[in-house]
Amino acid sequence: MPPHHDDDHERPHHLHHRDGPPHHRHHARDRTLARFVDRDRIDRLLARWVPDEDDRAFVLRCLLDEGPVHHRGVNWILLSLLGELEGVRPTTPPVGEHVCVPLRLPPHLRREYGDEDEDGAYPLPLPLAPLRRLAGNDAWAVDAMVECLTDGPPQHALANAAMVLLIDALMRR
Amino acid sequence: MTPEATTPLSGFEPAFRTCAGELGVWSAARLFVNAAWAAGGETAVEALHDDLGLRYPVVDDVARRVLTVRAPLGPPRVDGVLARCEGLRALVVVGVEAALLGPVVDSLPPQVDVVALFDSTFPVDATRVQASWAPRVRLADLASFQRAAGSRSALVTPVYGADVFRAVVAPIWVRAHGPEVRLQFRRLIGVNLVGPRMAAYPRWLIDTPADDFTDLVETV
Repeated sequence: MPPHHDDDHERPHHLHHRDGPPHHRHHARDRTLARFVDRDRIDRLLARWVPDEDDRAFVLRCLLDEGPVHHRGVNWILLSLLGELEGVRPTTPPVGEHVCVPLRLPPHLRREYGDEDEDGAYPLPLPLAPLRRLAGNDAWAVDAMVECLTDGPPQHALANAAMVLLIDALMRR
Repeated sequence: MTPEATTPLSGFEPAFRTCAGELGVWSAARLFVNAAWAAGGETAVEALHDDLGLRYPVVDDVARRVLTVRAPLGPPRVDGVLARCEGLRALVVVGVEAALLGPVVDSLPPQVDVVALFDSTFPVDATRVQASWAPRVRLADLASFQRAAGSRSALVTPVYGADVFRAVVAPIWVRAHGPEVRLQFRRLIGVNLVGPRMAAYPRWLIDTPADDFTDLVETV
């Protein structure tokens, strides 16, 4: 994604798009994704769980703008399809008990503010109800499932959490 | 005409390099060019331009601006940066420009943790810069700055000219800015101190894609 600027009308002349291909590293992959990725669709889909616009922009960037192009495309496809199934329903009740996707800094760079606070995690909830449906009262199994879903690169972990959110909404329908 | 008057400003490079290391190259250029303007107007700025402009493109750019508008170069506007800092818990400054960092930290709420990494292209006396900025600003290095990462943390770096595709930055930005770091900070803010790309080749600095940044803020 090109960087956000103040109102385009106020952008200095040297920052206006010019004709012709952009000569930067994301050109090819951006062109590929531009064929189908509609960011607003995922933005609307997540709005009920991530109401803050700035929080949502951060999550959307991680899901759709960062990492290998095929991962970003897959994130959009699967979330959009689940959104179709769920049928965008603004009335879906708030998520119940949940955890957030941790930042996963390397162990030697543990955050100075503590890993347990809200800033040590992405602003996207991972609901526990669907996992309890599988694990029953086995708290260890739920913890292990959370670990599986939130491990690895943030593009994957956040997409996992978003998909479980949508599945949770489907199950509660 | 005295011999001093024919070569009013020369030999400033060692002093300029010291200032560039500890204040930032743009802040040092502004300081030197504005001082020349105050001391001797157009003649003095042209002499400083001749002395430093060829080796230091930022000096070249600042001197050209001052000679064009025939007035000292004003401080950068920081309202756009502050707007992007709303709600943040930590701001990590990658490459210090004193003319930018000073007014920003003066305006940020005290609860915002400010961490700074100095670029080491020019000599930096760590003890002296620590004394200048502590305790409001904590110094960090490439091995430790991610400790301030978080969902309400942002990276900010000075930009020395940009167009829609490319931006000129200090080398430390490309060392600090990796694929994993992008995902550990809410915002990646470039603050353009120069405006359009400089006419001269930006030696000492580095070209990077403009889409490194989630926000590219103009200050000119």
